[in-house]
Amino acid sequence: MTTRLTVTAAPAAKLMGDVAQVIASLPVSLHHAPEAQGADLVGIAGNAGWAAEAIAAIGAGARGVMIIDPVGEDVGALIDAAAAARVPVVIDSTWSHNPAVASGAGAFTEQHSADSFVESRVNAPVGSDIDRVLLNQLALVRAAVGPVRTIRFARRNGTGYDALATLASGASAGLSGILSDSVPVSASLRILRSETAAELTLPGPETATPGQAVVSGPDGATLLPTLWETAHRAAWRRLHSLVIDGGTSDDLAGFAEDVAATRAAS
Amino acid sequence: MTESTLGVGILGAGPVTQAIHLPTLARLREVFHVARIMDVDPAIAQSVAGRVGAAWTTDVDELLADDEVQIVVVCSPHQFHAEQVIAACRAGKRAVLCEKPFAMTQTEAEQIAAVSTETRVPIIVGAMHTFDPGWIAAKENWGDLVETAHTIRYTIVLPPNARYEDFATEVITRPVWPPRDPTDPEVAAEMIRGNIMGLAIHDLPLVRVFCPDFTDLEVLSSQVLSPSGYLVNLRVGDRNVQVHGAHSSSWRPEWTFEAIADDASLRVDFAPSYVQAGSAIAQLRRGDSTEVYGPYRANGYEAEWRYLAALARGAAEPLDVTVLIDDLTFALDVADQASEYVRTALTTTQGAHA
Repeated sequence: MTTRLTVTAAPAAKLMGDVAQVIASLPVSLHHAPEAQGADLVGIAGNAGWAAEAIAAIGAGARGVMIIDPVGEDVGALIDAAAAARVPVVIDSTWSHNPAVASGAGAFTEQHSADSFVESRVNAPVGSDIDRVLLNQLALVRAAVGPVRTIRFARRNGTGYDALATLASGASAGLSGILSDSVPVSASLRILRSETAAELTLPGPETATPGQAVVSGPDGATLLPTLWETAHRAAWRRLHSLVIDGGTSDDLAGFAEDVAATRAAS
Repeated sequence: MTESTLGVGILGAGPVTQAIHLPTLARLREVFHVARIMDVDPAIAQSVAGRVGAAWTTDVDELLADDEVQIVVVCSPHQFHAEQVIAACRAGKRAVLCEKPFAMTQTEAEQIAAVSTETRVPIIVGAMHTFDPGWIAAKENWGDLVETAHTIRYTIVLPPNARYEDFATEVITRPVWPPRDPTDPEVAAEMIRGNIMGLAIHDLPLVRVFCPDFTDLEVLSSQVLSPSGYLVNLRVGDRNVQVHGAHSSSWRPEWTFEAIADDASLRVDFAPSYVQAGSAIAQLRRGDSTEVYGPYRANGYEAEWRYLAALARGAAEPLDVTVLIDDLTFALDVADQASEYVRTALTTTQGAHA
């Protein structure tokens, strides 16, 4: 039987994470807390100061914390606080919780090796915070393939960036972000090998339009099962499970590595 | 042959002639007939000419001296293009189609332009996508996108040539590429240059359309991709340009061109180059609406040949030769700078590890 947990989120978090819609789509698992204080789960907008807010929420008794689209911040103290209180902290980044990412993970593991070249592109609206766009892309690469260790910008300006990266595995990557209001918010990631390929195409996190994970080779192409779930909903479902099952999240540790990589970028 | 059709002479009978031009000409029998085919290999020349009932030769001059040949198509290896185009002009032919690139140096290009002007023989370069009806339709409808675009993306994911050549025709010769070591700076530099001048050059004229300041070019990164391909990031004027190509045997070919502005964008999806699969499909997005152009029945090759016929009959205005020179200048700049970037980067890296 599913245990229903109460949720609270400040207006900014509700807006950025489409929280009301998520709760409406998980009525057996989640419901709005009658008061801000004492909610089981707390949604926090990832704007400046979010790590301190999260520490405060844990101190106030939250059983699980959701960070929505965070800016780069030091999270060492938050990692310590979450571990001490055994509170899972999940990061609702733009792409990584899309169900197609998990669906394609096995295929990417098969394609991925030290000599792979990983290509990823993100389309974001005009005016987007480039650092945030990049952090979300790094979270996607981490979830689908593996963590990025170094980044070198070939180009970074007001219309986006093109970066060359190396992964912990030794694989290299080309990461692009393009800002435009004429291209739907979306992301893609692929590994092309001489005989085979794995490709992901993802819609924005607020839509249940399915992402697509496709594996192809000399025998043809396979579209992996399509799931009509938004990335936001999948993130909250995961947090709910972690709290109910007593699980832990390594999202903050990965985020800290990604932030370090962006700060060391040349 | 009939008197009402134009006689075509083809220099070089390799896969491009076999899989592209002969199938296209077969669709245009009311306009053209193949009069003579030349190849240095007599067996190939005879075999390919025999398919279309044409005469054959191993001698360029013999083909150019043939009065039945009114249009010359240059499909020989790149290094012969310039001299053969010039010879065809001097021979007084009605028009010349040269496969890309039409020269390998700026000097050659200027010589060709001068001879074309002097002899009044019109020349076109086989940049088939510039003739593609999908591209043409987009061009007629993209409004001010050339002025507003900030990002250009040009990607080719190419299946092995045999995958589509063999469905366009039955190819009897195919070049064999020995394995190469991309960690060798000179080899890598040559691989980049070869890929730019051999593959990326197809749509560099399209890229240049969206780069008005095309001589202000800076290579921001350039690399040979594993297992086979290239990735070049460029600043061209104030435009962000990425040119990418990969060879893969997986079943997902891709040939796309994108021009992206803040509030409008163009995406063109082309079919693989050898197949007779109709035109590209162009999508113009503005706000939340998308206009789609194509697919049209004819592809760029057919449109290119129909234009060539109109040129030969004096029914169309010749292309401005400076456009062809500018296209070549741009391609050579990209190829030279990108290959030099790779050479320097690898030499520096290996020096650091020595």
